Amino acid sequence: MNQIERLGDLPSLLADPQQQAKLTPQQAQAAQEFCRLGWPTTRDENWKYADLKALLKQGFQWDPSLVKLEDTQLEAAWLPLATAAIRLVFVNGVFAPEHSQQTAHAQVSYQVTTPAEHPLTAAYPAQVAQDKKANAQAAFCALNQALGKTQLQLKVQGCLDTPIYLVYLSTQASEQAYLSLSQLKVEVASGAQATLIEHHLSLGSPNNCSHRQAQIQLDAGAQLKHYYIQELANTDQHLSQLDVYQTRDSHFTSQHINLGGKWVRHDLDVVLAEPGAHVELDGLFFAAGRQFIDTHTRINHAAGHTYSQENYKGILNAKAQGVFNGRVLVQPQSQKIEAHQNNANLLLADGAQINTKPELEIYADDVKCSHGATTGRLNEEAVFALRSRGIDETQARGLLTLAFANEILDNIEILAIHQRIEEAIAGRLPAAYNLKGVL
Amino acid sequence: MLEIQDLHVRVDDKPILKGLNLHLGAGEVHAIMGPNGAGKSTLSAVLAGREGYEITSGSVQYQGQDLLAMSVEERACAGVMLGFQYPVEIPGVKNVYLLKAALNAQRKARGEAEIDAPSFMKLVREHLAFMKMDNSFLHRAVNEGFSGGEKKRNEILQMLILQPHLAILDEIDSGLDIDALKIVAEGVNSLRSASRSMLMITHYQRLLDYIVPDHIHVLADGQIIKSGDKGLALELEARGYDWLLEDAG
Repeated sequence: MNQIERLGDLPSLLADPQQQAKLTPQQAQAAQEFCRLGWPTTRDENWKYADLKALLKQGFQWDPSLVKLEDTQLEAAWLPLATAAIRLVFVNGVFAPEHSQQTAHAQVSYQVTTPAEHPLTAAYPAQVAQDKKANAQAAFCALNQALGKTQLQLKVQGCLDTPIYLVYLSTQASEQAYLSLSQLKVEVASGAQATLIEHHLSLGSPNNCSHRQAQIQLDAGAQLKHYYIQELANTDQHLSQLDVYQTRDSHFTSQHINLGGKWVRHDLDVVLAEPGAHVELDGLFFAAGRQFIDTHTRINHAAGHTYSQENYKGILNAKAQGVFNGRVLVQPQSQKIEAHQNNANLLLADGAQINTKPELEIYADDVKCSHGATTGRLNEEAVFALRSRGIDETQARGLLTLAFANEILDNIEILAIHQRIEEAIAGRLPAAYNLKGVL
Repeated sequence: MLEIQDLHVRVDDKPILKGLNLHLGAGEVHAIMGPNGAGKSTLSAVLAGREGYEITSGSVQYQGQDLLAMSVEERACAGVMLGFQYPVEIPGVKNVYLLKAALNAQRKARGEAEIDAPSFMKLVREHLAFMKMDNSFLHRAVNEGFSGGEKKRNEILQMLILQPHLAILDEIDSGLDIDALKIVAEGVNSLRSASRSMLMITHYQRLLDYIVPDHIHVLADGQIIKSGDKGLALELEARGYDWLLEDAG
C-alpha cells in the first residue's frame, strides 16, 4: 500500500488484517493504535480550531522511489550558513545522502534508520509526572510509526561549535500529492552542547502533507539551541510534534519560526524532569492569505527549581488564522520554579484572526509565574510619525511590522537565519510594503 | 514660502481655526504664541497632514503648491517637517533605520540616488556630535526610553539630517531643562538660513530668548489677533494675554 484516494479512509484501510500483515509486529501495533485513536476532531479541546476536514478529503501517496532532485535546485534553497558540522537533507521525508554533507565529527554521531527497525518509545520515563493534556498528536505519531520510512538518530557527545543543519524539502513527486512521515531522535549527552537547525521548505508549490515527530533528550548539564524554521509553500500542509525531555541542569532554547504552509499544526511539549532544567521558547509566526498556523506548547514543570520562559509573537494579515495555546503545568512537588509566558499578536487586516489562550495549571505554592497575551494593530501614531519624515505609508507599515518581529529576531544569533527571516517577513508583506532600501 | 489664507478647521464638528491668515517669507522665523485652546496645535497638525481635522474653507499654499492636497509623505518630501511636541516611541525601529529610510525616501522623491553607507554614516555622526548625542543613539529604538530632552534633541537631529525648507516646531521647549533647551536651540539656530523658514509654536516666552524670531503672532480663539516683532513677546511676558483678548473681544 503506497497511496490512498482519501486520507480520511486510512483508519479503515489500516484496520484490515491483510494490510497489517505486511507490517512488522511493532508497526502493526502502531497501526492498531492509530485505528483506535482515529483522527482528532474539532470537538477535541486540543483541536478546537484545527479542522482536519479539508486535509482528510485529499488523496496522497508515499512511494519513496519517486523522490529525486537535482543538486542545483537545492543549493538555491538552503541557508547560506558560514559553517555547518553536517548537513542532512530529506526530500519528502526520505533521506537524500547524495545531497547531504556527511563530515565525520568526534562530537556527533548519527544514523538514518527506519521506525520499523527502531520504534520510538515513550518520550520520557513513566515515573515522571505526566501532563494529561500532552500527546495531542498521538494519532499522527502512531501513523508515523506504522507507515513512516525514515528515522534520523543524532547523538551529540561533546561541545560542537558548528551547527547541525537538517533540511526537510517538500516537492511535487508525481501527479499526486505526497504524504511524508519522518522521525527525529536527538540525544545530547551529559555536558555536551550543540546547535540544531531544522529547516522545512518547499520547492515549487506542492500540496503535500508532512508529519515530523521529534524527540529530544537532554542529559545532565547538556545544552541545545534549536532553530525550527518553517517556510513551506502556501500550498503545503504540515504537522509537527516535538517532545523535549530535560534532566538536571540542562538548557534548551528554541527559536520556532513559522512563515509558510497552508495548514500548519505544532505541538511542542517540554518536560522539565529534574532540578536545574531551564527552557526558553521563542516563537514567531507570520500568516497571510488564508494560511492557518496553530501552535500548542506545553511546559511541564515536573520538578522543583526549574525555569521556563516563553515568548511567542504572531503577525496575521488578510484572512489568515492563527492559534496560540500555551500551557504551563506546575506539578505539586515542583516548588521554587519560575515560569513566564508572553504572547503578542499583530493583526494587519480586518479579516485576520487569532485565538490565543494561556493555560496555567499551578499546583505548587512557592512559585514565580507570569503570563500575558496581547493582540493589537499597528500604532497609527507611529505610522504617522514615519510618514511625516517622508516614508510612504506602505513602507512605514512594513517597517513597523518588522519592528514587531525584531524582539524575536534579535535573539537569533546565526546571521544567515536572521537575514533569511527578516527578508521573508519583508517579502511576505503585501507587494507595496517595500523594505528593500531599508534592510 | 507659506501662505495661509482664511483657514477654517473643525475637529469633531467644533470650529477650532476660524479664519487664520499667515504669511511666511523665505528665511523668516515666526513664532506663534497664545493661550491654551487657541488652536496652536491644530495649526501644526493641519500643516503636517494629520487625520481627523476637517478643513471647511481657506487655503494653504506652500512654495506655490496646494499643501492641503498633498499626502503626509509628499509634504515631507517637499521639505515640510514637523518637530513633534510629543515624539512617539517606536519600539523595534532603530534610529539609524528611520534616518536612512527617511533620507532615502526624500532623495528618491527628488530624483536623487540613495546615499551610500559611508557618506550616510559620516553625515549622521557629524550631526550627532553637534546635538551632543553619542553614537549609541543610532542603535536604540526611536525614542524608546529616551528622556524628554533626548526626544526633543532627536527631533532636531532628524531636521539637521533631512534639511527641511519649512520647519514647524510644535512646543519644542516643553519638558526641557535649561541645558537641553540650549542644545535644542543651538540645533535650531544652526538651521537658520536665507532659504529656510521656521514656524515655532510655543506657550512660553522663554524659548524666544534662545531662538529669536523675526515675527511673533498671538493666536486666540482660532485667529491671529496681534502680530509684532520680538518686542511683543516681552510685552506678553509682562502683561499676559488678557489685555489682548479684551482688546480683540
